[in-house]
Amino acid sequence: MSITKPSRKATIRLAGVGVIGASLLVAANGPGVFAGLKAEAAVATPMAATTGTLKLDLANGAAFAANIDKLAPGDTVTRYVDLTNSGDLAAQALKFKVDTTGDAVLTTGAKAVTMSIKSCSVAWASGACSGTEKNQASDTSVGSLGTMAAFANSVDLAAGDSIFLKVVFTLPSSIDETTTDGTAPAGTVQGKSATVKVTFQESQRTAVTG
Amino acid sequence: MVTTRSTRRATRVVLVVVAVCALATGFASAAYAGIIAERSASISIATGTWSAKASSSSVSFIKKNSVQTGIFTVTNNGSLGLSGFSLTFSGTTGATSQLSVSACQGGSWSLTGTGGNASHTCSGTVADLGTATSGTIAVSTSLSAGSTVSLRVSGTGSGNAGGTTVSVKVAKSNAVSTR
Repeated sequence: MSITKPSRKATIRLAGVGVIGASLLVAANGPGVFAGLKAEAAVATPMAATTGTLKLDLANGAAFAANIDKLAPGDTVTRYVDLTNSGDLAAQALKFKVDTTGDAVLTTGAKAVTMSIKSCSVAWASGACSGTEKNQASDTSVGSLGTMAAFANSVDLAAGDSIFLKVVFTLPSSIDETTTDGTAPAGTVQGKSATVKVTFQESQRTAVTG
Repeated sequence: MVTTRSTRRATRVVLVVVAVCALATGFASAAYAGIIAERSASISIATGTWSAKASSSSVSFIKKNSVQTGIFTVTNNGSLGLSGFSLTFSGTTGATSQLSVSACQGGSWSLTGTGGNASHTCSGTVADLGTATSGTIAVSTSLSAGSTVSLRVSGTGSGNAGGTTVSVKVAKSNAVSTR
């Protein structure tokens, strides 16, 4: 008796039929796997998931916005800003930037108004800090602060916490102009104006896995 | 066979590049991801002006008893108060070596009399403001923005001061800060 070896094509055909058959079998029996008895479990109290809030409040905004006029070289003007993280998420890495419009001589270059920031852990009282005082930004021309930058000493605010800022604007005392017969010199800083918008930014605390 | 190996190698390289990019993007996003809160406050800043101008750049002199005098006013046309200014006289001959300036406080200088009797008289109080030998006098007098001071310049030299011009200069140091 001789055994005939199936051809390669026949083998492939046979395998194909087998696969299709097996698939049909699984498809037919599939629902049957989950039919019949079922058991489920659920927690007694449904879990509530809520998101936190991040909110930055700025106090003294009106006082801060009080216009500064007739500024003379060497003049310094101080404004106070209280920042509070009024959300329920902790915040980190307080930052700031300055946007300016108006006469360029007041915002960039040697005659530009400069700005510095100090922070205090408690409210400033008559210009003095009775808590922890830190330099957060040194005197820099306002036009050079257009990019959001972190405070020199990192400020993280827990929910509800505040930081008290002292912002000082200065017209450099190095400006030396002489007006002759009512005419100011070329490139004068006199009689100029600019608007300075200071933006503070806080970011949410680092995300956690729980 | 060679083609298959090079294809696999190329595939691996692509996968590594994609993974690195994804990782870098992930890190970059992490720095700015999440919630951000902002608040802004704006302030308007304006500078003052320090400036003064004489009523006329030309000063007419009269001569009496070898003393030549001329009168004019200086007005603070800036927005800041001034603690003083400097006056420079030119075009004088001889008189510039001995110039003095007097203010008439609470009043003004005026020309009275005619001819040889003409003189400049003050309706208020005379205050000597300074002398100079170089034609330039640094005047120290308080002058609020918009106000005017009446001045008399005197030359006691032997020359003729007629046709003198005066220039008023205000330096930054003359400006009085409002703060």
